Amino acid sequence: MVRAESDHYYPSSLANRPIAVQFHAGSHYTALRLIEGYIPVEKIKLLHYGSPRYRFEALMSGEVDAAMLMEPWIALAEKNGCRSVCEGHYLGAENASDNMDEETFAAINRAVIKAVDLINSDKKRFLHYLIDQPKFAVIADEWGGLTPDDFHLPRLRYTHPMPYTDEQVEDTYNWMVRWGLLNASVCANDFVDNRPAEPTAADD
Amino acid sequence: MGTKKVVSETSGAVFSLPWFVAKDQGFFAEEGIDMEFVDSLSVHVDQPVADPEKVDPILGHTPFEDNQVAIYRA
Repeated sequence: MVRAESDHYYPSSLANRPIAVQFHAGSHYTALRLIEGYIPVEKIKLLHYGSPRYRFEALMSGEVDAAMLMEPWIALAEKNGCRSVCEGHYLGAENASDNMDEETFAAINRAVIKAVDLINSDKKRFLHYLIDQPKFAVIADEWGGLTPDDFHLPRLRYTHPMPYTDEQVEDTYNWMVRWGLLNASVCANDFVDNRPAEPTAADD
Repeated sequence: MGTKKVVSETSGAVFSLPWFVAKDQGFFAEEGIDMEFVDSLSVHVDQPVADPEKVDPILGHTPFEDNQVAIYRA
């Protein structure tokens, strides 16, 4: 996202300009994946500002030219005149500890599947969870607040839990090694215990 | 069927929304899961950092690293 008065309308103009992200998180990796198609590596200037609140504030204060944001921060930025110069989506997933047994994990996934189906039947009904989260609401109040009508609903994508494919793991591993984000001497299988989700329908 | 307690770390509501809905709609309870949420920590720096190697990749997921929670999403 860039500010309303910004001269940025597409990613190429962000060469050598500061972009706020959170290192080692989705905003970091998605920024690299989006921008590397437009800007040479040595001209990509990402800065770690931490959680979305601090990236949003760095953007609005003019400390950075652009910030990587997710909802509901995108909606708040747009309501305040900001615009997107590129958008990407990435897969969110569950990270379970070693003592999470398969039966419990399957039960959790069945409940989550029901919730996903309910959310997708009427996304606007559940936007209050995003609007009212305390870490967001306190800042949103300072910037005019947010209502469910301020969201672009197709941005919110919820799917049934599913394991990564081996190809996705390998491709992501190779991409991270290329960017120096993983030690190439360590095999991808050392990181991922790709447990299959129980293929039970939500209404079973 | 007995109830099993699970403690889950939540991050931004956009990621955790299905979990919040599953709890409030009783879907976890129907599965015999007593789901408790622990909020992840916000990550803030005094000065922006340009080198990824100078940032702890654990970020705010310390409840998971400290074994206070069994699962988190990102």
